[in-house]
Amino acid sequence: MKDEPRVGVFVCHCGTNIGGVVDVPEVVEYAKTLPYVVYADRNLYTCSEEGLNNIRDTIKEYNLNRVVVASCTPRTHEPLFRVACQEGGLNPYLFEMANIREHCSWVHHDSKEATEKAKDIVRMAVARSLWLEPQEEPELEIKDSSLVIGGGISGLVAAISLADQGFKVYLVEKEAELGGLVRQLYKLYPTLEDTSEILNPHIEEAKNHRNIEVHTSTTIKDIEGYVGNFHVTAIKNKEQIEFDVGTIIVATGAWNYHPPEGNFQYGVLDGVMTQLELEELLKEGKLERPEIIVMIQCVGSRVGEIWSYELVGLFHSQATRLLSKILGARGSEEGWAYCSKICCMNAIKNAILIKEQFPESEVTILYQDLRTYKEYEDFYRRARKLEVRFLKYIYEIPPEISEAPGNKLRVSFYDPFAGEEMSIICDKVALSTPLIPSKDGILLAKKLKIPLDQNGFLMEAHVKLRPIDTQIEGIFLAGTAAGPKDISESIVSAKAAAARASILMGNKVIKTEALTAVVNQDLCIGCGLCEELCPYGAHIVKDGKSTVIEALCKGCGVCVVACPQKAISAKHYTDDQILAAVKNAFTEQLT
Amino acid sequence: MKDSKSVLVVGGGIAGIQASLDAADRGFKVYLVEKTPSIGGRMAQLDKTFPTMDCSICILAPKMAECYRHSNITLLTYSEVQDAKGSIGNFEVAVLKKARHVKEDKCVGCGICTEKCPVKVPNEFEMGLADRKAIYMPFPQAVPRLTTIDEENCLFFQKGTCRVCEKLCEAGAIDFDEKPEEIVLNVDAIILATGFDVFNPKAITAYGYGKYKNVITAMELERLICASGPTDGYILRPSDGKEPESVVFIQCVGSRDQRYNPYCSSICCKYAIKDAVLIREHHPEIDTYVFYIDLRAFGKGFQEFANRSKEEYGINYIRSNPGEIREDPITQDLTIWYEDTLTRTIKPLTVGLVVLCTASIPRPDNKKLSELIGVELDDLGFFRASHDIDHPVDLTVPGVYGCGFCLGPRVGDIPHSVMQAGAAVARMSEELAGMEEA
Amino acid sequence: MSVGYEPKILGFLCNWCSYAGADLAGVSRFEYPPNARVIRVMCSGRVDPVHILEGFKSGADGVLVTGCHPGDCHYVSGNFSTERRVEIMKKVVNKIGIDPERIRLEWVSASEGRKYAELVKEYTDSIRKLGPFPLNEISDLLDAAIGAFGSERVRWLMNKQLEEIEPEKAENVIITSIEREIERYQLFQILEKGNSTVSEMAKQTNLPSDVIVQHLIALMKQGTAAITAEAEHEYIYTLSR
Ligand SMILES: Cc1cc2nc3c(=O)[nH]c(=O)nc-3n(C[C@H](O)[C@H](O)[C@H](O)COP(=O)(O)OP(=O)(O)OC[C@H]3O[C@@H](n4cnc5c(N)ncnc54)[C@H](O)[C@@H]3O)c2cc1C
Ligand SMILES: Cc1cc2nc3c(=O)[nH]c(=O)nc-3n(C[C@H](O)[C@H](O)[C@H](O)COP(=O)(O)OP(=O)(O)OC[C@H]3O[C@@H](n4cnc5c(N)ncnc54)[C@H](O)[C@@H]3O)c2cc1C
Ligand code: SF4
Ligand code: SF4
Ligand code: SF4
Ligand code: SF4
Ligand code: SF4
Ligand code: FES
Repeated sequence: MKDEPRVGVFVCHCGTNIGGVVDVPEVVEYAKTLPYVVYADRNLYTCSEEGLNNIRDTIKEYNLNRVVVASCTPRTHEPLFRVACQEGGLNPYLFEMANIREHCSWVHHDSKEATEKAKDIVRMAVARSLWLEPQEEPELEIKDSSLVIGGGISGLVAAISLADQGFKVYLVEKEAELGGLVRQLYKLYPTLEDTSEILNPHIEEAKNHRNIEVHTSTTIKDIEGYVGNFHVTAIKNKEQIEFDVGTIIVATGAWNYHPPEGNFQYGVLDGVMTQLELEELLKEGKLERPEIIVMIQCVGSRVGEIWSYELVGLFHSQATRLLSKILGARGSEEGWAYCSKICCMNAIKNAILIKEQFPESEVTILYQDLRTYKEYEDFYRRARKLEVRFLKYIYEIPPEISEAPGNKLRVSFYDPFAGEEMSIICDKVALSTPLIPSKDGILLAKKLKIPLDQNGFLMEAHVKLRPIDTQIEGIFLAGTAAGPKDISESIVSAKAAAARASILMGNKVIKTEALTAVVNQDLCIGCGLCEELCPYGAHIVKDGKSTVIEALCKGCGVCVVACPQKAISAKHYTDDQILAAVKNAFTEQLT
Repeated sequence: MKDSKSVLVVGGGIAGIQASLDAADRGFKVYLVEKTPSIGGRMAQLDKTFPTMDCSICILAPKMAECYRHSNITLLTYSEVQDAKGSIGNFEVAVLKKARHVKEDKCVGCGICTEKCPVKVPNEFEMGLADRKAIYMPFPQAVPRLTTIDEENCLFFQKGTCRVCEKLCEAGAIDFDEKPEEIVLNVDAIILATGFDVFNPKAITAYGYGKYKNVITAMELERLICASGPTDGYILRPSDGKEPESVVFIQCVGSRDQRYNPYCSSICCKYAIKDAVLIREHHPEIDTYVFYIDLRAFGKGFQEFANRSKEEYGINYIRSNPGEIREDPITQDLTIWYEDTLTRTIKPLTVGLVVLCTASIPRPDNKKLSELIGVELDDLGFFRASHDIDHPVDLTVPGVYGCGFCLGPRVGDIPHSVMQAGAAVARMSEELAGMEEA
Repeated sequence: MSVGYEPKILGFLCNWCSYAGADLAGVSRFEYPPNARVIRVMCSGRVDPVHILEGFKSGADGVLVTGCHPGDCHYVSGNFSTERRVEIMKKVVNKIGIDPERIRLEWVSASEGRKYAELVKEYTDSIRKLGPFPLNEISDLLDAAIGAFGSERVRWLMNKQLEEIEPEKAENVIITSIEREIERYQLFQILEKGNSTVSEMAKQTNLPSDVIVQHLIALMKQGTAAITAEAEHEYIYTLSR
């Protein structure tokens, strides 16, 4: 306590909401007896204009340096009263609320008991207020340039959106060409347009945009710094390039799974291929005559492994295991538990393309559940009209492929509808394989400290409400890097990533959380526990001392409780402040 | 960008809320128009949200409050768009602010008036499973936090008597004389986020909805299972308030059905899995079945969730075509005759409660808005995107964008709605920046 | 004041879920007993074991810590840290004569107004059955525990993921280590009041002499304690400055 505290207490009647149960005058009288309280009075509605004026005026008149309002919940009203304090010339963090409505008058009927409790609550608030300190919301400058990593459709769309909004963009692609996975495709569902019609305009626009610097054949070597000011080092054709950006969009995409050799006779029998390989044949016009083709869905996906989605760990222990799984997935039997959501539509697309080219071909799709969600249902109907055959197999009895006479293939499976074994003699088998996490994505995540989900896709800050943000401020996700998506969904996410990044850059300066943790450098011994625990990567231990990057810290306080040296404190929730309330919860210990 | 461009957002569900917040943070002056008394939309009614099962209102309420406080957002609740003209960069929109009869600057949200109002009406928020009064707060976390008098049911407006609420309100907030007000807004762009309606399964007579009390919709179940809902989160049958021994979910009710809605609603398989798991969590003794055609558990984390629901929670999935439902007049249990499509046999199953996973359908509002603003609707009645792959959030009039379920069941869930909201804001910023340069 | 005994409950509520749940109980007017006094923290992860023990010292008969359900923590994983800390703590306090029920961790979401109200009611009843906190009987031990839980060693053990050891074993190691630390603090406190001998310390703490000697050796190694003199077959220990 630096200056002698002068506390003002405003107790609210809230009409009869509080006043009807709690004896408000008695609480006011009690407040007056508390040490350092120089003013206490009551209002009918403290949150009304009249009540707020009263706060502003009283601060000046009584030279208050702490304000306590005893009324409703701080979760809705604290911001309002803080503003009033500020207008009265008091730092808004020298304000404290005592919730005597939601936590008292509304839940207790006995007036005497409620009044006693209200007094206790007020005493706790006054005690805490004595320890409060002024706080500032630090400002942080944001460079108005962005790095987009990955030049697939998502990276292109995000880059162009930002560039159109006037921001400088560095678009980094590790391959020599832009376009990503889409470049390999022939036609796109659901419109069946040529890939080039959709993709090429984006590539041209990115290449020619005056706000975009395209760097192909370039990989990221290092990224230092934090939101607003990242320093990027990249290697382009063996040469090092460097630049500074304010935000980063990760659009590193996904891989298409290849079954391990021998699985479904892939790589063993000619004519067994992935959908992507079939699509390449179609693209090159190598399907020359009507053929009998069987497509098998969910190859490598929906493998019945159970994961607890809730318990996605932070990625330290997982990255290595996931990496070996992805690399292994190209050569092991292990598959993926999730549904990749694009392969049902993709199979139907290829089936339609084949039937439209050669109506006499026979196409059969063997599926578990057909997941033609949304209006894609039409697409499914269109295929059925073209007499594409849909048959179900069950997970426990996967189809088997063997050689058949005459250079043909035999697909045997159990048809649950017919209740018996079936087999189809065909020319080709196309395996519908999922999108899987990419190695580059995982390695980059490690570099940027972005957690991974249980499968190895980059994890969003909040699955539902922050699906584009990562836990690291200033870094956003676009496209399949975060999980399977089709192109239109990838575009939506890429635009959204551009929007999120543009908000930071457009404001040029952002106010960051005032209530962060701070390290007392004299006490810190650099043990690194805080760095390990912080969910936001806000602690950085360098030269044996930890520092909190204020722009990243959200003020949860987890590190504060952990630090063995008690070197960390949480602004506005210091031990002194919390203990002041604890010690006054039941008896008066105000000193 | 020139300072203070402005945008009108129509619809205050999660999509509209997120679009408003993103636009406001981006520096736009935002007018958020919501026709009901509170923002929040469907998400406010949900209990938990799949697949991570966090509590819906817990994560939504802070966003609602942020909308209310944001200095760049003007909330116009209980309001509707009346007229619109102009084009990108210069739309003129007339908004009708309906008379709430409760003064926004006076009401403190204490709710005393609602306790004493004599008129009871089915509560829309609780899907009619509980009552509200003629003066009401739509739900406890409503934003703005004030009550509204519904003229159609209020005794004063209907019969000229009562005025009980006026006498009781200490804040003097009741104003019977308030008149609707028309506000004309000049905005640079428009974002539509009108969400979806729930298909009324009465149309499918074989299921007996509306006739049998124990046949309910999934939206109703969301309220039944919610800890702050009418039964405090206990699954109790509407007919007798008892816990059912078994529950069956019927999928694709009014979806994937040429007679009603040909498309797949995209979300019902996922929420059925969620709700089935929630039931087993609350009441492990209730046997739970899901009757489905294809189990569409696609997207991040869902197949895993479906697997867990089988193995850890013991949910029974039956691939089937349900035929008709009959009620036992004494026990009010329900017998469903269905075709097990895996074995091609017809079987009966008797359960205590049937939950219909009904289609999510376009709001009738879309038609009016499409006429006023000139944007096209697709064949189903959702807003048509100007290109299915390349421009998924642009509508067919420049400067008008869409997000959330009003674009159709594109993916249909909350995360995708949030992304679409961001995408709409990005498109708007790009196009307006482009105009400025030109 | 009143005839029966009224338990005093101290609650720590995280801002995002549990405090909101308590607010909802209010908004919904669910009545519950007025025995709890609550403190709002941003996350349950901010609750320090020392805060809990100080609660007992300040008169609480039971301490209730509530946070978001697993997976819902506003700060991703704060509540996992809390869970681990509280679990370890309960096992340790049990050994020093505090019924573990006096510390309770529960998850309350923002929609669980009813649950919050019922929790306060049920917990108040449960503490009523346990009776008042034996503050007078164990006040020295409690102080030692406050010291121990604030110590470098214990904070390290409670928060470091010991990856090399199996989880169950790790927990045993941690709990025993904390117990040892508390014992050491007991001796420390005795010495703080004045010089003492092993037999006096054994009498005051009920610890076996060999354990005390072990601790004293450790304290001497740290440079915290020293021998000042010899008296009738015994050394006299003192705190070194
Ligand atoms: C067989 C198949 C058929 C499909 N058919 C369709 C269809 O018809 N319609 C449809 O809508 N969708 C279809 N899809 C889905 C579509 O391919 C994806 O939605 C799309 O590729 C996602 O684009 P993206 O930019 O997110 O990722 P990608 O296309 O994977 O692009 C990622 C880019 O990032 C680069 N990169 C990765 N790491 C780094 C790094 N560290 N540094 C620099 N650059 C890096 C990669 O080289 C790549 O160019 C299909 C998918 C498959 C597998
Ligand atoms: C039973 C059920 C369970 C679900 N469970 C989940 C789940 O667990 N997880 C998940 O991710 N998704 C779930 N969903 C889907 C989720 O509800 C939607 O994705 C989401 O609510 C869509 O939000 P929205 O803002 O587009 O629409 P809405 O929530 O419908 O909001 C639209 C808003 O616009 C307003 N409005 C409409 N017309 C007008 C007009 N003309 N003028 C002004 N305002 C207007 C409406 O009043 C409403 O407030 C579930 C859906 C259902 C039916
Ligand atoms: S989209 Fe279809 S083929 Fe692909 S994993 Fe899902 S169900 Fe299987
Ligand atoms: S935990 Fe404490 S001592 Fe260890 S590095 Fe962090 S601040 Fe320093
Ligand atoms: S308070 Fe939380 S967010 Fe801030 S540094 Fe500590 S652990 Fe990280
Ligand atoms: S005047 Fe209308 S709203 Fe008010 S109490 Fe009477 S019926 Fe209810
Ligand atoms: S999501 Fe499932 S229940 Fe809903 S329409 Fe699609 S297939 Fe039917
Ligand atoms: S915020 Fe509630 S427990 Fe972390």
